[in-house]
Amino acid sequence: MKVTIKIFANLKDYLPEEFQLIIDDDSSIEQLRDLLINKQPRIKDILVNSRFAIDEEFVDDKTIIKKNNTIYIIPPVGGG
Amino acid sequence: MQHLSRKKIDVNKFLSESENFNGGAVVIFCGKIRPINKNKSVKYILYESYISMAEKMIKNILDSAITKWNLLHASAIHRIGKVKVNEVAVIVITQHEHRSEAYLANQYIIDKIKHEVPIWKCEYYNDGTNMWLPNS
Repeated sequence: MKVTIKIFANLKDYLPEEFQLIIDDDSSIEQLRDLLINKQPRIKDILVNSRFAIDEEFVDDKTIIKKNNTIYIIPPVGGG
Repeated sequence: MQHLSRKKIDVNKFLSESENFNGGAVVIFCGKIRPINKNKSVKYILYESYISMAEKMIKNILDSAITKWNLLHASAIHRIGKVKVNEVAVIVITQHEHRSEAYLANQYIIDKIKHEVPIWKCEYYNDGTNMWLPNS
């Protein structure tokens, strides 16, 4: 199934700001993270320290991704 | 946008809003861009945000502080985009009958904004380099 990924901050040094990805049905956030690390091993350190969000809410690693979800990858924040 | 702004923060206007409330203690925190960071001369900071989520989270943080300390008023604005050295990047105001609650609530709000809200900063230096800086 197809999902949209949106990224921020230093992740944009390695990936486009928004892209689509085909993942297995019933994939979890944890599986998505692993898939991205396999595709881009250079961003492993950022991804393992990032949080993920769907519909403006943080989701945990066990959350199952639904078709047409937009997943936001939130690297460690730096406001203030 | 209510809690994020691309425009310069008017500190006096922000303070004057507190006159609409009766509390005797008003605490304002302003976070400014420092000219030197880690021995490097800073030109400006570029702030980026996941805007809709950040707006929602800041509102929730303010609401929870108002409830927890029974505040008369609390508000916060964080700049996004390019912010020059010595400009205010974030401002938090809390108002209560007494100062201890206003201080505690203000620190709670700025700590939550810095460590939880999806806002990022890329620091640009006068030597032409730049660096994304997560909060520790």
